[in-house]
Amino acid sequence: MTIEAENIVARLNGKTVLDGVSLTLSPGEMVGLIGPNGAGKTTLLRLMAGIAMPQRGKVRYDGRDISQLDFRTRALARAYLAQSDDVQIPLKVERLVALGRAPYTGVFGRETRADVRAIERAMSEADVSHLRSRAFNTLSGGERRRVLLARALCVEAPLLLADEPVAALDPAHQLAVMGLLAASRDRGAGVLVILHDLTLAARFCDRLALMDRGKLVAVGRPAEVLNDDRLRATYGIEVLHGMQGGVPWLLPWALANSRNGGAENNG
Amino acid sequence: MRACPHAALLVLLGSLTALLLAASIAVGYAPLDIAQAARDWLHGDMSLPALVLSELRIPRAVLGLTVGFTLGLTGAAMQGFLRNPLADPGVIGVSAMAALGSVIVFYSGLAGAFLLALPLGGITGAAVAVILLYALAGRGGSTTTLVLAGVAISAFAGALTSLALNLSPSPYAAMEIMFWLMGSLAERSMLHLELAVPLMFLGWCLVLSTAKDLDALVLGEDTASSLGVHIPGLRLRLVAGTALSVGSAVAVAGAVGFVGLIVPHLLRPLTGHRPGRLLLASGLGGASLTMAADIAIRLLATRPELKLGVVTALIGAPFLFGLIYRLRREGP
Amino acid sequence: MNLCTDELAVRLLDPARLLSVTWLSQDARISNVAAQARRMPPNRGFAEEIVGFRPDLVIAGRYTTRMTVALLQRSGVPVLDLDVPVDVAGMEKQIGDLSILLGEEVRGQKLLSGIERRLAAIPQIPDKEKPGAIVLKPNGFTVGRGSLVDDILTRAGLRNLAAEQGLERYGQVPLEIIADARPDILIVDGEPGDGRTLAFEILNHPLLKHLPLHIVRLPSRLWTCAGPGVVDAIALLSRAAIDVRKERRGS
Repeated sequence: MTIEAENIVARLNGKTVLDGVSLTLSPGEMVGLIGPNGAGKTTLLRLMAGIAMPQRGKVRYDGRDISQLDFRTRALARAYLAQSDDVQIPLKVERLVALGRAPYTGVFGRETRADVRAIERAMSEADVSHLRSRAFNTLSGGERRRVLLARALCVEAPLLLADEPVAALDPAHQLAVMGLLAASRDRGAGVLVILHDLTLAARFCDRLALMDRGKLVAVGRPAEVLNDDRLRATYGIEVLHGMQGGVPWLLPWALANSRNGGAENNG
Repeated sequence: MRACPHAALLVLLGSLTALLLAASIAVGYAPLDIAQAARDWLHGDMSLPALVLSELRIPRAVLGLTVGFTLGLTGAAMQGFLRNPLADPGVIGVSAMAALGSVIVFYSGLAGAFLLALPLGGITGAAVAVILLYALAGRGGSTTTLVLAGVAISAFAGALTSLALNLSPSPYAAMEIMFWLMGSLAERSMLHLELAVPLMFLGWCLVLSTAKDLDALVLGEDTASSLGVHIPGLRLRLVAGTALSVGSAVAVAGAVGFVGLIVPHLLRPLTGHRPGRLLLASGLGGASLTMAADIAIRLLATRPELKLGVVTALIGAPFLFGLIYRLRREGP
Repeated sequence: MNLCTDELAVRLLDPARLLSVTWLSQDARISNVAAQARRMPPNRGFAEEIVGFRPDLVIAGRYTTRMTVALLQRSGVPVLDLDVPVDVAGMEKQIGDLSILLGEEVRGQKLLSGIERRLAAIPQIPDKEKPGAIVLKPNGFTVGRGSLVDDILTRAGLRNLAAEQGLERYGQVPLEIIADARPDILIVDGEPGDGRTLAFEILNHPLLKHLPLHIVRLPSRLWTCAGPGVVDAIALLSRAAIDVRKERRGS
């Protein structure tokens, strides 16, 4: 399934948050949404997930306007992983993951064997099977993120939209989670993911979309998008970078107006 | 702790409710041969026992059941939807506003104008309160905001109720504030039952229909929405369901407090903390608690009779203290 | 400063000697002397108002306007606290005493002899044939032994079933107990007054419609106060008692 966002304009409390943004997500590709805080990344993700509606412009799923699709069709088309992990109640991990099957189960929420299989698979992929009987609110931050990812995976939707899935994770789990998203992509899903770690973005994403102040500044292959001038203009930083096996790595080193800039160290 | 199998829990609560319903019919002020009374009633013989059974005991017991079910159910639903452990029709002023609505309709004489006027007054009051609460405290707003809004609404409704009663030309009206603010099932008749129960039932259906959506809402509004939950529709069903059931319950039984607060908390661990599953269980629990309180009132047999809300508050207030203490310890 | 003492004052005193009555006494629904009472200025029982009339004597009821009475006594205004008689004999004694105190013995004697004459005319019913009655006041209150209303019922030839159940003075009765006592007559306040209240809801309970009983509506002004009005109440109830007895004999 393909999502197209076309010329999106979104306002929040009178302020224009998105100003004419167009972006396409195709099956089998992972697109990283990057940009400084307040650039409009989360707003764009929510609009493309159909959770909110834009003031102007269209979001289309396989060419059909999303506002024409009913809630269940939308639910089956994409999984959405929110940034917040604010679940205060001591719900068991297994039950929380199972909520991802809501679009499949009927009014009474009866789970079929297919549902149970999907729940088990998602938990094992996200490496949370051993936590199944724990209460969610007793988990560590990293465990929580993985459980919520399992919840999103268990929807088994052709599209996955994830808002900062690696925030608060240690490096090993960051790599593991990115690996899971990549595996979804390899199975043919379209993955749109908001990231702050530019190296992870460059390493795992097929394309990057760089946003700044409600506009899309650049879209393309990581090596094209992540150049020094753009990073200085958008993030206001100087980075150290290099190549590793054909993939660029970046290390934010200093603020751009600082005299102790890092660009000259770049040999 | 392992959550017990849900069906077993429901069967247990259902049996408890049935048992208390029977006990509530059996307990009264004058000795009554229930078997004889039932026989007479079924044969259409309006003997004295049959009259006491059909016009006093049964309406009172069934009203206890339905009012209690309403309070337990809506308490659980509001706690789930607002994601706030203190949301209860009594605490946040919905019952008080329903009482105000009923009082205005009742004492202005509108209640005599057409049959459904009284429950409609209660429903309108309850709906205003729920909408006001959403406007003031919103969803997922802090506990403090919600409780502040509730206190404001309760105090306002209580004052207006008192005012309305004082303005009533009848010298008895001013003394009746106790009934409206504390609730009672004394001397209710089949008429009250016929008036309120269909509307309460409609409200229950609306609230129960939100069970699966409330489960998904645990993940937050955005994620629930991504799972196919239509949030505005959910909100509407909850507002309408709560207003219908609480409004008509209060219109015939007054504002009975604390049932909607205690019962969901007691049952939550037993339902695996799943808001959807809590609904039916909490309704049955509320029915049981209310009928038990009403049985206690009749066994104590004080003159004049204790108000129902007095007994539920006696049980509920210490519970509320405990809850606040725990919330405090867990920190914001 | 009290509905009941007002009635006695109006009946005993020359109108020129009475400065003011309470506002309640001017309401014909609850007062037997409303017409006379309307000719003089009303008070609401506040000390300031009362002092303004510069009275030689203030007549108050034992249980009402206590704050005002205390204030008046402290400021040296003579106050007469009248007790609430609990039977007809007590009422007659009170009328006699008050008339002497007010220097209106002639009017007092006339009033008393009228009461005696009418009481003597009430027919007697043999104990065994007395119909059973229960008073159902708003909010389900009833009256038991040791109250004026109990005496009214007895003198009218009725058995007060609430008193027989051991109820003293006033109390609430559940409908169930009323049904269980199987009264022949249910005595209720005759004029519910304006507006609906829960207090009167109980009188609309379907149970009462199904029970085989006579409902007698007794205007509340006749039995609220221990005054000459109670004689009317006794006469009214007596007629109901005789009707019920006749009906029972007939069937």
